[in-house]
Amino acid sequence: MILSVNNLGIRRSERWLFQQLSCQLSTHQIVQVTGENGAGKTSLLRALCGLLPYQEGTLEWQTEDQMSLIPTYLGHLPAVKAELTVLENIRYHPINGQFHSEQAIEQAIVEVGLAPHIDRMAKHLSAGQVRRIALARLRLSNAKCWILDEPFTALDVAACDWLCNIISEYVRQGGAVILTSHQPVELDVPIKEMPLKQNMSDYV
Amino acid sequence: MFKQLLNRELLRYWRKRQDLMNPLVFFLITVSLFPLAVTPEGATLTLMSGGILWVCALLAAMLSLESMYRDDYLDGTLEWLIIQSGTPYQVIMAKVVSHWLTTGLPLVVISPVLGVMLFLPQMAMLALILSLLIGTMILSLIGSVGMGLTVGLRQSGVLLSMLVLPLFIPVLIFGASAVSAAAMGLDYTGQLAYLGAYLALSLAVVPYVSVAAVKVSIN
Repeated sequence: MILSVNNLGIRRSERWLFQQLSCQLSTHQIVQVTGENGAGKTSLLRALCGLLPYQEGTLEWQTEDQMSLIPTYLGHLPAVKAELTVLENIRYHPINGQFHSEQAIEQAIVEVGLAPHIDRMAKHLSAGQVRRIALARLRLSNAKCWILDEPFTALDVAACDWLCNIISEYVRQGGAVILTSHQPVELDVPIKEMPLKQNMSDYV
Repeated sequence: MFKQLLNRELLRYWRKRQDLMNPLVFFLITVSLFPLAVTPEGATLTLMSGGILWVCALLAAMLSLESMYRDDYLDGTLEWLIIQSGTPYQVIMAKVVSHWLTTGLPLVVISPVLGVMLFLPQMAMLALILSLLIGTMILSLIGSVGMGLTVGLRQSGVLLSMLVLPLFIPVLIFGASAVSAAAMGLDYTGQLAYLGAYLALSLAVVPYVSVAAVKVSIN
């Protein structure tokens, strides 16, 4: 088990998004958080990353080594700097506590199909290509857990397939994934669904 | 880690180098307006030069604080760096150091030229350079706290000055008084020592407060 959540509750400006949320996440597991717009999916994922304070309950990451404990978080904002090139965007941004070798970075860029644009500034790329830079970072991550908030937005069919493949591969190799998606996710590993409701005590 | 983070910041500033001219041009313009508005007479300007240079340098440096976090906050790289580096303190310090290197240091470098323009006595030049050197470092440090707190707000200008200026008043007092003491041929090591102590205090406290402030802003 790498993550255990007990009776978690998050409130945003006087309104409880959810309360009494308990769940566990272990290796080789993928959880899809579902719920309508405003159900608190993004808030939950950000709380798991430590970006958002929670008001109730506990949240514990359990791994031996500190660095792999940092989950790789892919949020709504792609975290790509417009005035840096594709290569620099990966080279100068640490991925769970480390910088990667030039060779590994170039390989990841080739894999996401940005090889022809490697020295082009991100401001000259399309929204989908910018998302692909974020995916290249994900490819380099050796975190124990990936937290993906709507990872399929702006991606074309080929990139969606590629992302599904690397998620499945990562889960098979012992990773854990928590994701949200409004598009149907087709993976060849079983997905556990977790619907978000205001009071979670009736959900086991 | 720190070196890479610092390289990132410097590269980011270099790509937007036209923005780096803003504080310098502001400094140049405001200082050169004083002889026109007050008097071009040497004796009066000599008396005021230390104060004018210090106030203008302070305002110029404050003008550039936005660039420290704003862009990174808007495109999501700030939160990425805070989580993924594993050492938010180094992220903040890289930002502070790069901000000083790209705005504080250039202001210090051109200040003697503007000093000559305002009839600042030769013997006060060293005091001006040293006091501004320490003072701009303190402004970058304290500014990172104010900017960290206000980066999430759309219109942060006035609030930022209200947060940062009170903390910066001691620096202004000791800095300007070091320059005027030197201009009168007096010893100014006492004022510099106070500035140094203030710098040491901010160095010790600011990284922690700044990380906490940024975390409040990105949630």
